[in-house]
Amino acid sequence: MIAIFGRYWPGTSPLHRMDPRAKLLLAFFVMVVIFSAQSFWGLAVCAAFVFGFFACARIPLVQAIRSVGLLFFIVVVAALFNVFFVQGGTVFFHFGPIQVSEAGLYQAAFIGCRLSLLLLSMSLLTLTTTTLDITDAFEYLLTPFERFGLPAHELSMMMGIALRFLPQFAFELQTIHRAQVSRGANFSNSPWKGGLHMVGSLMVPLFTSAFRHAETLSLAMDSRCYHGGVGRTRLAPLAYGPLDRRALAVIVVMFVLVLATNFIPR
Amino acid sequence: MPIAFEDVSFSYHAPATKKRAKKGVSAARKGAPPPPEAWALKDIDFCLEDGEFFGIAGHTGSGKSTLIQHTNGLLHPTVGRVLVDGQDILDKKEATRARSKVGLVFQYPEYQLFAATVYDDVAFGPRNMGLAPDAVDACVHEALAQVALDFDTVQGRSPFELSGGQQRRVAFAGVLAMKPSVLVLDEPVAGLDPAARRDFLGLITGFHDEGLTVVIVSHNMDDLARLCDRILVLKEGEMLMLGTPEEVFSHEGALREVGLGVPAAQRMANSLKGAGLDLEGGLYDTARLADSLAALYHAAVR
Repeated sequence: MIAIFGRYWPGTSPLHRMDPRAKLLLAFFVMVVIFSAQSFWGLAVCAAFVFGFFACARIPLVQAIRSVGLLFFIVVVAALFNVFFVQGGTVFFHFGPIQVSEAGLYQAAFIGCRLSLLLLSMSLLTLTTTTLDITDAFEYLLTPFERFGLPAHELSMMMGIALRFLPQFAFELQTIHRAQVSRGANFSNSPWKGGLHMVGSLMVPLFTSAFRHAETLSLAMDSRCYHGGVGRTRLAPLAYGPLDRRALAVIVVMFVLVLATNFIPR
Repeated sequence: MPIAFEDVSFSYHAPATKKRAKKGVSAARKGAPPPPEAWALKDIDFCLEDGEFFGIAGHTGSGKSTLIQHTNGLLHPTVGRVLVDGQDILDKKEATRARSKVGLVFQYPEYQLFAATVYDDVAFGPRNMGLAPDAVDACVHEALAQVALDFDTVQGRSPFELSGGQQRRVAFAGVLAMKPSVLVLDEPVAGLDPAARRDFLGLITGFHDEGLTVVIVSHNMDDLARLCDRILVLKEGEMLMLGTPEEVFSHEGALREVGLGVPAAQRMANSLKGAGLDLEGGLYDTARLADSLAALYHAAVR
């Protein structure tokens, strides 16, 4: 099996068994911790913890890195921006208005590492939590806002359905693509010449299929007497456990350590 | 135009790469071989002859769809090669050529309709082949006639307002308009009612009579027995059996093991034979079985 950002990696590790709400909140906390790191020392502490989490979830490091591979271009773009826009220290390279300086390179490397760590930790959340659990947690955490008219249950249900259908649509798109290629469609050579027609030959069937799925799904929900979230009970109510408290403790320690590294002089 | 499969194996984990195409087919694949269960197809070796009516049967996940996607170069073998008209279709130019010769109709082809009018949808293939408007027009006329749709009534309508059966006819026409010499159909009658099933099988027999080589993937053993010259049975990506319906359906036990049956009349003949009735071998349809039983009955009464 190959880990992909957003895909669930089945397992029974402590991270898999944690309450999804705790995981969602702690993932947010980890994000804050990573942002509060001001130096490479801080990032090193974060990296140690993040890779520790992956070991704890028993996800091989190769797969962990592969899972964020597709998003890595964001890191590269962000780092490149910093190379050119942050100035200071020794200038290494000079060409017209473009110049690359020591501070720029330092900042680029720093931002690059920070973003990679952020992506890895977010990837860990989706790798260890089923989409159903994530949407449940999402719904629970939004419930307080229902007082202000926010349809928490409906929002999370929409999110759940959207996530559930992503792989389905990816598969259907592939079949449609193959069918049109069989009819001589050429998607590789001339993206602009007659391109709109080619894209239409993929998008129109994909959209009609989406509508068809929506209709069948709503019928299926109706025939199971679905009436929204009001008065709905749960088979397995979410409950915080000792595992979640320990996880919180670990991340508080991580936070304290990172804050401490900010006092190490550069 | 024969299509030859030469020791074709395919794995979704190690698809053929462009590099292999450059180095030549004999070049060994790099890296560790995939585990045995990763093979979607294994050692497929047969040749589809001109004018044949060829059936492919197998349980869900036995590699039928993967196999037919090799016939026009949508997928390339990990090991081995596929020759269309004697040319290896790993070559991109040959694959493009194969696509105009081998018409592939996917499962539920009506879900791939997209154009604003039936005419435009059927004309998609011929236009992609770069034909002149007159030639495209001729292709569309002929293709719609082949699927028994009236050109003047349907050509200007949106394919989405047609009935399901008519949509499927339009989708068939879209492939036939490219004037293939081989037609490959993946479960062409799936999801149709019995009457529409009969109509479509009639249409397909008609294509064959017009000289097309037809490959049909089906779960229905009665259809396969009635229509096909040869049947290939797949089991977990490997060739389990290849032969005439008579040969294939004499192995009822083996077919049952892979979750397939035999035609209803044949099943009855086999169990009668098992019960000690003196039926000679061969393939039975309902009429032939009735005749043989009547003959046996008369012999016994006399």
